[in-house]
Amino acid sequence: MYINSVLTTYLNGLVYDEDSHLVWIPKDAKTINLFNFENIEVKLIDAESTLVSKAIHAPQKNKQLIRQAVASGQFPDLIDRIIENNGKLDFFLEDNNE
Amino acid sequence: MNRKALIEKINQLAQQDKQRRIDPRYLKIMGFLVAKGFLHTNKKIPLNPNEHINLEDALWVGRLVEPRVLEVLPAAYERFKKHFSGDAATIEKLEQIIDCIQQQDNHEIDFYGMSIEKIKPWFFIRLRDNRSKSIDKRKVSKSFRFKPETIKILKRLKNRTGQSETEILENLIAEAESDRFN
Repeated sequence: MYINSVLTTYLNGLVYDEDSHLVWIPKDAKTINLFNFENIEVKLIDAESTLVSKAIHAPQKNKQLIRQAVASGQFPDLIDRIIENNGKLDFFLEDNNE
Repeated sequence: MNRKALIEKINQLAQQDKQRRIDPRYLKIMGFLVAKGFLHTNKKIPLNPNEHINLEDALWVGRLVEPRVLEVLPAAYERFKKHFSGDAATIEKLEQIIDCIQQQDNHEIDFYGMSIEKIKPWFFIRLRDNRSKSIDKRKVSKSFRFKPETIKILKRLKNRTGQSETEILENLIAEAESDRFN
């Protein structure tokens, strides 16, 4: 609760997720230090690595997001990084027909 | 499939996804679920907390556009039944999920591929309106037949403490329960 109130105050409404430790972060992710409190470090992960994490561990929920990201052309290494991390790229080519 | 063909196919599907996100069914369901506080979105969509939802449309959105809809739909249906209509088979499926959660049954059950573990937490969240109670907080009606003397005592206690009769009884039951285990 205390962590949440600190983060809400300093980070414009960001919320500490109790399951944060379960999040998988790709090895080559780049991070930016946002805050260094006495007991809490707040880091920002680069967008492409976040997409890789979602593509590998929650592809069903993020199918459209990944397709959108690839189509945007803003993440040129996304496809390679999904393959490198044993992601199933074919999954993003599937469409549930009506 | 080579890289170029793969990107082309993904672009094509992304275009289709984009079209689906402006479909009236998507806007209607999302407008309702976001307004109620089940989902959040960073897109500007019209909020419709009083919308009537067709379950078939909600399933279309969940299967083809936004899978999170399948995750929250049973809880949304349970809280706001009057807002939903649909075919008997879908309603039966939703009722099975609700029963399973009420009975705390660990039975393997899913809702169009969405596991009960993913669906369950949404039954206990606090919604934006702060009015509708979650399944574990909702009061259940129960009748008792008391002796007149007991009723008099209950009324006296109510006047003395300022608590409602229900609160007095709930506190006594909680005390009895804690005495049993201490």
